[in-house]
Amino acid sequence: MPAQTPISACRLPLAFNAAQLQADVATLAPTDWQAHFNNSIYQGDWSAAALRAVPGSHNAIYSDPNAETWADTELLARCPHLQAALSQFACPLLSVRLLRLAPSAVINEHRDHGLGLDVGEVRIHLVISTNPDVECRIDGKPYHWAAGECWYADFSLPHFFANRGDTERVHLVLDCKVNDWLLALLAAAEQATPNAPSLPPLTVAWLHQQMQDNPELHRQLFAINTSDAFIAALANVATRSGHSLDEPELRQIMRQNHRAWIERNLP
Amino acid sequence: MTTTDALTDWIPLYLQRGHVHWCYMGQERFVEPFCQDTLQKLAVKPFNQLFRQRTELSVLTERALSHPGLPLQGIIFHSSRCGSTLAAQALAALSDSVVLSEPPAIDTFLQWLTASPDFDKQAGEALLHDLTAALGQPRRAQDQRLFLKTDCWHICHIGRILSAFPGTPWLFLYRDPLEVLVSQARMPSSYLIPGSMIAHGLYPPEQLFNQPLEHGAWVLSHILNAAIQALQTYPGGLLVNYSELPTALTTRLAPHFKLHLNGSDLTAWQQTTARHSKNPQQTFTADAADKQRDADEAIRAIAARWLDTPYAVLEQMRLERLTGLIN
Repeated sequence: MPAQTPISACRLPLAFNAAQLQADVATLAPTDWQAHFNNSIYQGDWSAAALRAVPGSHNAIYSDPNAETWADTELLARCPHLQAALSQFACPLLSVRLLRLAPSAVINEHRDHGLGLDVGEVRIHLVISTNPDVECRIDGKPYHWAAGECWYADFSLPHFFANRGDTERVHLVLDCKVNDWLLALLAAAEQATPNAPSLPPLTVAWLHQQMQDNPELHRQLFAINTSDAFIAALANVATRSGHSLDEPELRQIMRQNHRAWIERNLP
Repeated sequence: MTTTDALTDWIPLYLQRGHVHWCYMGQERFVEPFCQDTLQKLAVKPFNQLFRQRTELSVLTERALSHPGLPLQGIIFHSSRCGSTLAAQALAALSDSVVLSEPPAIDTFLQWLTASPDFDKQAGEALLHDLTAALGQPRRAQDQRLFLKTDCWHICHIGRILSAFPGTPWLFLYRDPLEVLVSQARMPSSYLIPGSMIAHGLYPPEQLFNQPLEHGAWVLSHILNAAIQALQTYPGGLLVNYSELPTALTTRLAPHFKLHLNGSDLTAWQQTTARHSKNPQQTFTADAADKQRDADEAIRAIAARWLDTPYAVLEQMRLERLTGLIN
């Protein structure tokens, strides 16, 4: 078993096109959503839509730990991008739901039982839409899960979510049967991002300083001619130096500087 | 580490609102026909998109003290479409020379000096010198000297430029204005845009605002007249007509700029002058006859109105100097 030291949460090395998934979610009718049944642990609007459920269940969004048979719902059949996202998971899927946390909704800290590598079933969150003011704590540690990212967490540990922003947070939540593929995925994730959320981001000022001490790094970065290769080189620097890479932030700086060059002669 | 040390191997990419925006140049060279093309290549490098430095103008002065740059050994003024790029490329082919060809930052700075007449004259000229020093740094071990080819309208600023670089030999290269106008009609320069030279203090007559080619001829008349006046005012000037190229590069420009050409320099010049300077894939061919043939009545009338007189004066001055009547 790779997870001999239990991990509380880690980002999985899978990538999704959040915009496409958002387009599917946008086609849902208000009646496709139902308020989450566990109404003692949350305030505000927390609702769900079932994509795989126990056939004939009265509570399709309930992930029944004792259920044996799960089937795609009619709703999933209408959502091609969600289907494509699910097809990336080479493990048996049990319950699959969309969980929507409206602005100002709060899910109190709680534990979910019947989940864990030891019981052979884990829960994975794929972030479809979110905002910077969504608060997430797993076992007391804060995380920011960005749109398009896929996260494993041990939800038998205490966890807490609050949407302090003004747009809704929608996650695709998959309950998966653990198989070798999933174990390998978790092992790879654990190795790639040890303690990823707490690493300081790579900054331009730090890089400047670094290049003055290390002319070879300066030379290598200057020689790169495409943005993607450049970002990849910075990711490499970040990994080696114990930083996280805020790629959107760095790309925005590059875009702004390039725009300033194009607009240099405007009054 | 001082600010100016942190700028070693950086270059002013552009000037804007009283500030210098620097990008990294490293050991790269100005090999393209125009500075602008080299700067564009540098500006789109991912490195220079992420790392920019922005400083006050005064940093240019500090930096020129610690890093004075290459000595400026010659300045090329010109009438446009007259072989000036060929001359610049010939100088750039010398293994120890750096050529700044129409650097945009110099143009921006000359516009600033024009727009603010209360800009202290001496301080302005000193900054022009320091800006050129930042542009003309040695970037390879063998870099020994600098040449500047200005934008064609900069002959109108020759007083400022020679005050910044006193005693520097200069060239005015020009061509039969009818041929220049034919070239401009085929592929217009920015100075044909009516009003484009206002930032340099040249306000065109009202009737030229919808006449781009004639506006260009009017700007050219200022250029030729400024050259005539400059030759009468400042020492160190040389007149060369396009018709004397490429031979005059070796026989007249080289001694004027105190070049001592060796065998490999001469070979490099032969190779350079065999190619079209702005489009090195094409071979260079003298095309005066072609352009004369293409000049229609309208172009001839415009040339006669604005340019025939100053051109005749320049030609007379050049021939007098050639025959040794005046030195």
